[in-house]
Amino acid sequence: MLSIYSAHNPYLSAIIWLAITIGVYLISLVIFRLLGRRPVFHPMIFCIALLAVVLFYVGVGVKAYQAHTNVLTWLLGPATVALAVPLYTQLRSIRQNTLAIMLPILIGGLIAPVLALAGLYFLPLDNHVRLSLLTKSITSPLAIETSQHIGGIPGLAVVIVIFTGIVGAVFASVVYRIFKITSASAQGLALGTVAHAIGTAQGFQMNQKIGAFATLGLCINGVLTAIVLPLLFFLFS
Amino acid sequence: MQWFKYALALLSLVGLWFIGLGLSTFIPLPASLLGLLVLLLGLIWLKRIPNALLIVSQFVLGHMLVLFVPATMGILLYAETLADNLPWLVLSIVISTLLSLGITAWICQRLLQAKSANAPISDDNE
Repeated sequence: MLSIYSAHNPYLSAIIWLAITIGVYLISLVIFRLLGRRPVFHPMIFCIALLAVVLFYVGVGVKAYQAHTNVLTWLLGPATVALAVPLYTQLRSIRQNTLAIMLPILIGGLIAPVLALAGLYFLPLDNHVRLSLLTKSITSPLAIETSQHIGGIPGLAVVIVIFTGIVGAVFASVVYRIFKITSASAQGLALGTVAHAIGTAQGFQMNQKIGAFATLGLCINGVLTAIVLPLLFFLFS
Repeated sequence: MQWFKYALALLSLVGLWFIGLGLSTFIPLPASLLGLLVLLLGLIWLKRIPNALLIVSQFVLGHMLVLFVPATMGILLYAETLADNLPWLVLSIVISTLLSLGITAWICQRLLQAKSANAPISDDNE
């Protein structure tokens, strides 16, 4: 493979790295399923570990790897457009329970990044790092673009987003026990609002209603954050 | 012919993203968000979801994770530069996520309970 790689054909290396990425993803899914679909063993964790080993072994840097596979990152855009479909199926719930859906999403979408920033107030962090935290609760494709708009670091924003999602998915049931949350709608809405797509996937594992409300939280908070943050920065910069 | 419909649905998602990209030159919002809003308006106008679009979007959203992989590998780029502050960064994200999760769910539950107290149909009987 090294000899093919050194041929410096950009299309060929793109195809090879795409195949490796998809292969690693499928292997990670299989491991996740074999280990009983526990949120602690999120497939993304295995993807990062396996690919890090491959990159190290072949001697290719992360930036070169990202350049070869940037078509995948680009496809996140069209994939995000597809969120309109689950959002459309939930329009009736939004009309029936407007306040009980919109208010928690607004509050959750606001306090999640604000609390994270407050916890880091005393740290000597770079401003770009702080700005990258603001998109922590929205789904990665929106986070990448929003973060670009407001001067965060898209790569770091995505890492924070995925970490947030895994934390939310892993600890949701414990948190709900402590806060005595029994309503499936409330459990789902909070999972989607705070832990975006990864929380939503976890919601569908719990039951269909939790999953459906998680989709609502995911879409509405994603849309609101992606609208509000760039406008704020557009107005104040 | 079914695969042709699926291909068309997939292409329409890409096309809508490009429409979003075009709109983003006038509106300071992410292209994918604008594409999403255009599709949502389209579905509201159609009043139904075309079957091929439903199946394609379920597949795409179900396997969206693979599209995140290249971007996520960036973790290796930042692990070193953030090393000194990493424990605080992690702690802050964990605590803020768990608190927000609990508070958001609690508010939603309270509002739904208040509503079902006034209405004969309870939230969980839908």
